[in-house]
Amino acid sequence: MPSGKEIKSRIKSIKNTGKITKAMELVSAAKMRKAVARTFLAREYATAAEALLKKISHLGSLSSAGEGWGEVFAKGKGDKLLLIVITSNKGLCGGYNTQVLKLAAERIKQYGRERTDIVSIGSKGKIALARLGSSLIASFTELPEMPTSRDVAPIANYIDKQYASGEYAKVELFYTHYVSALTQTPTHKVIVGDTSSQPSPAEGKEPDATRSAATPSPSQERAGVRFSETQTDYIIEPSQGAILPNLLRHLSKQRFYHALLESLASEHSARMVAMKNAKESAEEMIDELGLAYNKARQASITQEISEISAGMAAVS
Amino acid sequence: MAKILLKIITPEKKVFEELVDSVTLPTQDGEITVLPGHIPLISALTSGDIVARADSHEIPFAVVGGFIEVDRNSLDEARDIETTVSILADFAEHVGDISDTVIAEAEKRAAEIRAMKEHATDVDFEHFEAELERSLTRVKIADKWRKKKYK
Repeated sequence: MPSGKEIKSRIKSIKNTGKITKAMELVSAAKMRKAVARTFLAREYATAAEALLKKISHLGSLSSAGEGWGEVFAKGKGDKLLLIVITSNKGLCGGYNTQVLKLAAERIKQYGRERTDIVSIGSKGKIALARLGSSLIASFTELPEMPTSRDVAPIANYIDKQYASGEYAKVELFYTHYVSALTQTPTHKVIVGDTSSQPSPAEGKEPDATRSAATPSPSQERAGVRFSETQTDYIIEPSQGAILPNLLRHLSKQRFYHALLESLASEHSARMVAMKNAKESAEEMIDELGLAYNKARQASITQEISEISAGMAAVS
Repeated sequence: MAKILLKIITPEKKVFEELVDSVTLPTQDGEITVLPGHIPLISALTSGDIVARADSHEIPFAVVGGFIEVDRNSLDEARDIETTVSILADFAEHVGDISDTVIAEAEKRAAEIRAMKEHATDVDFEHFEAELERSLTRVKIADKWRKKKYK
């Protein structure tokens, strides 16, 4: 049994650790609130953009005069896969990084190591992804704490350039979708290339706005508004060829930015929860050690008393 | 009278969502005004000002780049919204939010960017170009609306 002194020093060290984790929890909570607020504000744009994309995506197949269409909506020229994996720069955030990396690793296994290239966002992923065997062609770790859409422009441009090189069939994005402070789901999304086979699990949960926009309401049909199947016919100015590639490039950049925000919100809440758990288990350990310390103290007192009384008995 | 539901959304936040009577926008082909009942349209925006009119008030916004989607809307017949105009802007701001300090800052920023552009690489150039455009547009639109009345 450890002595009272040993236990006392352990309690002290755990108390210190507990203080640090508590501080980190508070910091993460503050950052999380900010990040979540921004994510919700950005979701608005993302939803609207996705809805718009869905509404116009049929135009490519509809009109034979769709200049510039093939390259944007159809499969890319190459057969390789470009994965973008968003992880955090710092650790101590529970399973946040592991989960998204696991998802990416599965995808790599499924598609083949030689046929996938990786772009890593965040330094945690960089180390883990380098071990996976696919070639890590770029890594971005210098993002600010609260990135704006301007900060992601260089990364988005880089991805565009890679895709334009014709080597890749599509670009897939791995990030963590923020559901609530306690739940974050690692998510997988095609952002450039053939998006028709969207494997994202978040797809099913997408806000109804997109769906209601795509399906005509009964009242619209009654009003005799002309619909081509489920879609509205849009006039596109200046021309399809001029606007659509531009629009798509824009939207893929936006998807990336949105994913980054979601990931940030997830990271901070994952860290907050991890730190909360650490703080709580520190408290628990302090309680237990306190009991052990009292027991040890009591034992030594009892021993001393019995030694004294034994001594007295021997003397008298 | 039928109204337009105008939404102005940027990647950072939703700037505006209200019912208006008409809205004038700077598209790449020139300025257009959308009235209730407009045919569905998708177009690209350039930098300039968006002016929404509601009850003879003018509501101006500075905008830099983006896309506009005009769609018929009969989902909400009770409120008599015939048309929805969604503006997905790279950047948008109510003119009233562009204060004098912001303008001064934007001007300073523009000067800085111009100086930096001298020795920037190709990649940066595009970035600076966009920044400069943003700063200049803010200044320009704020100046334009300084003497006019708006809500």
